[in-house]
Amino acid sequence: MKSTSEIAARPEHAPAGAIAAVLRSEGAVAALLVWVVVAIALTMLNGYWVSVAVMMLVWCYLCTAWNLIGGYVGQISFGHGAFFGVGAYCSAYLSTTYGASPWLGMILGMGLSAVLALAVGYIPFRRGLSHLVFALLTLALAYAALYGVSGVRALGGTNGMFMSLDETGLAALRFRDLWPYLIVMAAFNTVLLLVLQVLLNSRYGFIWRATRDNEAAAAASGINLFRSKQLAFAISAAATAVAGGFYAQFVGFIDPHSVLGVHVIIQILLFSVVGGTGTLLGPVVGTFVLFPLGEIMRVQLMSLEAGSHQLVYGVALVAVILLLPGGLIGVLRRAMGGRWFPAFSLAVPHGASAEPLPRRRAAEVEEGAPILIAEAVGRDFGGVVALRSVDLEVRRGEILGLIGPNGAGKTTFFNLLGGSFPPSRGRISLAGQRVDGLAPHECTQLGIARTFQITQTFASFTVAEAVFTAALPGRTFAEARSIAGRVLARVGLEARRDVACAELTLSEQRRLEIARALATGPSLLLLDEVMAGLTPTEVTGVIALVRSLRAEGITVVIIEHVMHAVMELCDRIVVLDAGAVIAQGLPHEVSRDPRVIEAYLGKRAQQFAAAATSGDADRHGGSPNDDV
Amino acid sequence: MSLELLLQAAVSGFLMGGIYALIALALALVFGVMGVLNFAHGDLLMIGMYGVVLVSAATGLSPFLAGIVMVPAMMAIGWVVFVLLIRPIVGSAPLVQAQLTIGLSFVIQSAALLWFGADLFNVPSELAASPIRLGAIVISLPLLIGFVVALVASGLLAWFLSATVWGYRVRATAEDPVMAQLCGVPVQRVQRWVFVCATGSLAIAAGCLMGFYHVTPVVGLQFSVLSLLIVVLGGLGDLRGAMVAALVLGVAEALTSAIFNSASAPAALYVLFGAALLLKPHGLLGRGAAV
Amino acid sequence: MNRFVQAAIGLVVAMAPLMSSPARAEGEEVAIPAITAMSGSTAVLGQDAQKGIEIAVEHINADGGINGRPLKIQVYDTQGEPGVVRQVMERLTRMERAPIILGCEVSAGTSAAAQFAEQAGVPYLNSSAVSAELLERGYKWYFSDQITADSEAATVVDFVEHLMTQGEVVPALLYEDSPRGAGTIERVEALLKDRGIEIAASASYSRSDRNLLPPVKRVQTSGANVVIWAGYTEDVVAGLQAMQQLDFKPYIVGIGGGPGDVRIPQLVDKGFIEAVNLSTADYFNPDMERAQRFVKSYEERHGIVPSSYASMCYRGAYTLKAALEKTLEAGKELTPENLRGALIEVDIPGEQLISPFSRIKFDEHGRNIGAQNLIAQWKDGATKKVTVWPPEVAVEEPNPLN
Repeated sequence: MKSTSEIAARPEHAPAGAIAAVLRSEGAVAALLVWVVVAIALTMLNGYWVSVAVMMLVWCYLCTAWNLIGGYVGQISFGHGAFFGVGAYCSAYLSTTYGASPWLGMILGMGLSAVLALAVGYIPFRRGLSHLVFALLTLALAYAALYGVSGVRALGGTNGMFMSLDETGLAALRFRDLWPYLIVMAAFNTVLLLVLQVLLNSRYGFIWRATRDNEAAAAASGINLFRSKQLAFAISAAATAVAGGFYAQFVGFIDPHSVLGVHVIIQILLFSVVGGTGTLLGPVVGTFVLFPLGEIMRVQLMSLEAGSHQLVYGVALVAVILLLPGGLIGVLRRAMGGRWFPAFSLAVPHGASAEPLPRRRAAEVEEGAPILIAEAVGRDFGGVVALRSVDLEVRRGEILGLIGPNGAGKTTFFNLLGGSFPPSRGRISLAGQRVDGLAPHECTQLGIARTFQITQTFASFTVAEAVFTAALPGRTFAEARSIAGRVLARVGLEARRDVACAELTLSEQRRLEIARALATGPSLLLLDEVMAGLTPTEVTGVIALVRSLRAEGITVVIIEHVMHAVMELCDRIVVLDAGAVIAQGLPHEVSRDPRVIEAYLGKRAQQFAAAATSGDADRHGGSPNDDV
Repeated sequence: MSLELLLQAAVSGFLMGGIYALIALALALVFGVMGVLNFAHGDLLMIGMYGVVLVSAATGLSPFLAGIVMVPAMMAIGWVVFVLLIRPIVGSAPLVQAQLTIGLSFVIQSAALLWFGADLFNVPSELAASPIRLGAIVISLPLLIGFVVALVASGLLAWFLSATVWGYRVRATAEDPVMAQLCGVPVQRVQRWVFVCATGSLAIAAGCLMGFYHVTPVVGLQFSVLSLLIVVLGGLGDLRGAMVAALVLGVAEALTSAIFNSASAPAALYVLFGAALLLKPHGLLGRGAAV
Repeated sequence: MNRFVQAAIGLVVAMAPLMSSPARAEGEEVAIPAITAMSGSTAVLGQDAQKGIEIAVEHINADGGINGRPLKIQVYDTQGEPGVVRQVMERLTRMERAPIILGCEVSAGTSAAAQFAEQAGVPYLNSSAVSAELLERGYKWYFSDQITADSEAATVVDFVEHLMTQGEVVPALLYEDSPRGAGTIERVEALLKDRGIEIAASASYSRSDRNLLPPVKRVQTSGANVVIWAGYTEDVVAGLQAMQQLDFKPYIVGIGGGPGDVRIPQLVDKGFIEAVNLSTADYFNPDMERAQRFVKSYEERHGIVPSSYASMCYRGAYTLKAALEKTLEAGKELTPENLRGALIEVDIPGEQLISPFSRIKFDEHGRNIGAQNLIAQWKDGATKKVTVWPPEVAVEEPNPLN
């Protein structure tokens, strides 16, 4: 288990290594668990418990499939009942009406489910709508499918459909004995678990987890959130349909309520959450514990009043969720401590910092010529004008300071440059190319990288993973690994590479923000208050870092309230107030501009400031973290 | 299908929507103030409905009055549920919240099955026999009373939120709990009372419903789903949006059932919901949270 | 960790007794399993079914059991879910090695159980589902002593034709769209067409509809004066209230558990029930002479008259008894094969039944050729439900067409 770390990092280019990584992973252990159950069922248990084991594996499979979108990408789908039903109905309809093999129907069901998923996910994912909107849309899908099928005569309407009992064999997916069902379902589980493990070890694993942990940071890392979510949802939906096709043949009868009813998704959620989502083992363990327990309880408590077993079950469920956050796997994980599967560790050559940092695009403008031009850019929120009209030029190779009192619109301006939202008016161009209205990941890929005023971390990532993920879009694993190593060394986080992002100090979190931005390979770096709250020593370190970045040819725009740092660092300063540029020029010019002093300190201070020397002016605004 | 039929469906659907509004408001308020989407909302309502049946049977009160009598009892239940289950999951991942409240729904549903059996209960009322007739359109009296009571209750809520100190505190908490806390709003207390009062208001909604509807152990789930749809359709955190969405949904529900004479009819409602959500992702009034 | 180990040990201990099949009771007792939905959305059926079975077992054992051996019927909950039915059937056939299974299951559950029984080669005796489709599938191991949608439809149409002798009848169909309602209504529709009777309107609704004004209004505006109505209790109650509000008083011929529910007068204005001549095609009515012993025991025990659900499983238990006795009398073991043979030979005369059947006798498809329905009508201010049709079993005359 321990050596997973090194191998997990390079599956893309070494097939042998990739296979080894998969075999020693969580997915392989989960698959092994499935086969242990099969072995126990076939050797020690009687037929009834074998049939329970088959249904248990069906649920295990469903939970694993759901876990991809629900656990790894963090989008709760209530619509998996629909995908299950689509698989069941496709396979049932084709086999009973045209005598086609249920396998064919299953494949068709996979395709249909994927298409449905893409259709339902399109707008919420494209527009980046809330989790809840997605959840409720999928719930609506489930109900629409349930009632929709109920009215279709060809599908048996509410009467349901009977599978043909005549044929048996693998092609008909119908067997006289129970054990082949168990083997087939175990095989489905194994394939799904291993495919997911391979995907999770690939770039998609990083992309999906980053999407789940922090959408803003993921997008700023150049990840296309829409594609990330759509891909996961489609795979999850297609996989789910397979279980539906199997279920139809196994039970021999389907009707809308049994395969499309809400209880399908409720069970999936139940097993997954109790087991622990976002891990491959969680849903498997959750199902293996809860499903037999539910069966035992139904039988043992049968003599009691109706409903009592569900009551006990419900109480137990509530207790588990309240008392065991993270599910059963969470408990196991805490108990095992460091012996748990390490997710990832960078196998980067240390001391590679001498190499230049990556650059997404060699800037096509000459040194000193404008790289970024904003023309009359403005943004409104409802009736509130956040940014009136900003005209601004950033010249290649400079460090430009963007200052102004709180609420001046500085961060809004960064958000427009970074693509968080489009401007309401005006145009922005980078090296002659229009960039306004682009999505964040598109801006990142064009060479604009940003940090966030409130640091945005990936909760489940280590420092190295976070930086690696930001370097990944558009590059190979090897390239990304090398970039991550260099960037970590540059920002001074090399020693902390295997620490969870959430455990960093404030200063380290700021460095991680910069590292993430650098890893994308920017030609224009936007730093939003990276020094706020730092000690003077730490501030000095950041200043030196920014200078060295400029020395490598990265253009920097910096929002900062730590005035002495701004004065020391910036070549030019632009002052924003109330959503418009009120002054710009060299630091000492700006610091003496009466409009600036008025904006910062109000009218009365103006006279006081006028009497002061230029050196004093620095100190006036100079106390760290002085928000004035 | 005649115009008369459509009109009838629209009118009765609209009145029904008024009662949905009260149910959904409670859910929207809880979501707004503590960020918890309560999937057991309908089941809490169902407890209220059983309560109304018991009170009416014991005292002979009309269901509307019985609903008001049930308010303190429902508030007590809300208190217990909040302290035991809701408070620990405020701020947790949405999945954990969903699962816990689904678990609670499970418990309530099976407890109801244990105590009351699967039989349906209603409160027979003389009022049902004397509807108001406007030409060819019939307005059921219990439905109308339910509508009016729900409207009054919703109006009181609006007044409370906009004109009282506690209302400000509630709105401040909904806006930004951390900031509210810093400004001296007792956020925990506000959240507890909002949950308690929201659950209490379900007693009134239960009374309105029992004027013409029935209760079985499975109605909870139906109302949970319904109120979730309304809250999302109205725009998360937008109470006025939720009111409008409830009325729209009530009318749409009745119209789809009137227009599509098929088992697939309810599907149309969910397709409509999906379409509305896609066109108006921030709620019908476009003022919902972008969360 | 500790908690985890404890939990794991607990689970193993709990599973231990399930690792091996318990030996079948070798004693005198004849134990047969029955499946029904005692929880879930159709629990009302299962709970009544269980009560019916309990009383049947008591009566059978009081009368000497199965050739002197006591009968025991263990009821298993399936939640009415096909997936669970599959599991329970597996348990019963493989673990309990049941030679025959009594089914008091909802339609979907019965379909899944029949499919399973056919594969497993164990007779499944259905006492509840009225689906005619199952009988047309050519099953070898499926027997149904219950009426079918066909016999139900025939009774309803006969009754409508009787009403036509009293005046002009404009019939309309109103139904809940589950297989139970839709299946029978479909056959009623076909029969009416066959006999040249025009249908004024056909309105369906979903069980989840809270507002039944639209479908009821649709029927009303069609000008119908006789409504053939299939539904569950909750929607029939809501529908009757809607009719009352719409001032729509057709002659109602109901089908199934909803219109036939004995608690309807507690839930709906009694005067209105009488005004619409609420009648139901049913396979049981407590006023039948032949059902009195069952009805009295049931009332003593539960304080209310038994529902049709309770009666069907009581009857099923007696059909089962007949098959068991036939097998034992022939000196045969209680095996699936022998019991299937016995079921084919079973022939119980109508007088010995609590159902309005002429007899219980299975044809080669497992259909009970003696199954027939009655029509019961609420009378005397909805204080009693009286058997009014067919004339052979009628206790009173049906109300005339208004």
